[in-house]
Amino acid sequence: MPQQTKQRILHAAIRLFNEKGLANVRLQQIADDSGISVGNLAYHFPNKDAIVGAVYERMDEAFSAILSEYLAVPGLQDLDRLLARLYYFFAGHRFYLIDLIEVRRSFPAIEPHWQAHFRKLEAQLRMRLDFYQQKGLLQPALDAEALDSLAQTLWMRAVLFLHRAAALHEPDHFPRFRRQVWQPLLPWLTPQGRDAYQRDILPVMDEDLGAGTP
Amino acid sequence: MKCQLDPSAYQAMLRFLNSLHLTDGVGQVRDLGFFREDAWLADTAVIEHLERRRGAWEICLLFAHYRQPLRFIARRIASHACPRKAALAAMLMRRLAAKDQRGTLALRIEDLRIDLN
Repeated sequence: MPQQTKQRILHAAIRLFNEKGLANVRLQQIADDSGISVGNLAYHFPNKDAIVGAVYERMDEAFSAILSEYLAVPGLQDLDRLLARLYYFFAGHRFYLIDLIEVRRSFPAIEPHWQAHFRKLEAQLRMRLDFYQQKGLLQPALDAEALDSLAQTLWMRAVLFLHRAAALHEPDHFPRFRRQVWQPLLPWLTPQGRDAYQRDILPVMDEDLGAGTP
Repeated sequence: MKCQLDPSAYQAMLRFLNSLHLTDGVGQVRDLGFFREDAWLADTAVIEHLERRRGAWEICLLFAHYRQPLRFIARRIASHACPRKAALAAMLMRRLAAKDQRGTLALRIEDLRIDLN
């Protein structure tokens, strides 16, 4: 039971953080949203910092799970699967990206972990491009510098999409995200890469996988 | 306690994972070329050779074609500390490797046509 209550508190906290922003949520609101008293909440988490710490621990595990699936499928579907998992992760924890500066300032201990995760993500994107090039899906004319730059572009589009959509009040659904991240890669696909893209990615491009996506 | 992997080590690990996938591929006819290339080994005489190396007796098998003795390969097989055991093992290995276990295939020194000049 205590575990279930803890999970309920964390779910409520994430929901409220997403809705109101990290700084604007009080313990009373989390308790109300979880359907428990503030006293009961204090039994599980002594203060807001403890809740934030637990939320970040969960996020840390979830992001590590995403990174652990590198090249589970040796093709373009692997990048597409990564994009889907990233999108639903960030959509479920959008407060992290929106409040990035505030989080860095208030919880400096968390930051190094996330820097490491983001670096790993960029390294994975870069090495995927290497893999696609060696497999003949990306044009061989792209040198290391161009691949670095392309990986950075993909990283920025994948990580900052929701941030940009929130700032400009633009739609932020998954098909739009998917299309925008794939876009910079398309001019560099070889005929073989374009075939693979049209066969494996394009037919599912407009599918919204829903919030239940792992 | 969580430990952080050095970024360059992480990149090397990813490169290794890439190459794991790249070794997978559709088989080519040339992949079975070793059958053809090694076919001559079926017609070889096998000679065992014992050599003392680093305190142990090393068994070496020499495979030479019975018509073209200059076409040969030598392979180190195993080593034993005891010379008698090494000799016995070498004899058994030769009989196992040789096509004609009775030893009717023989090399003739004149086939080598060695010009001592």
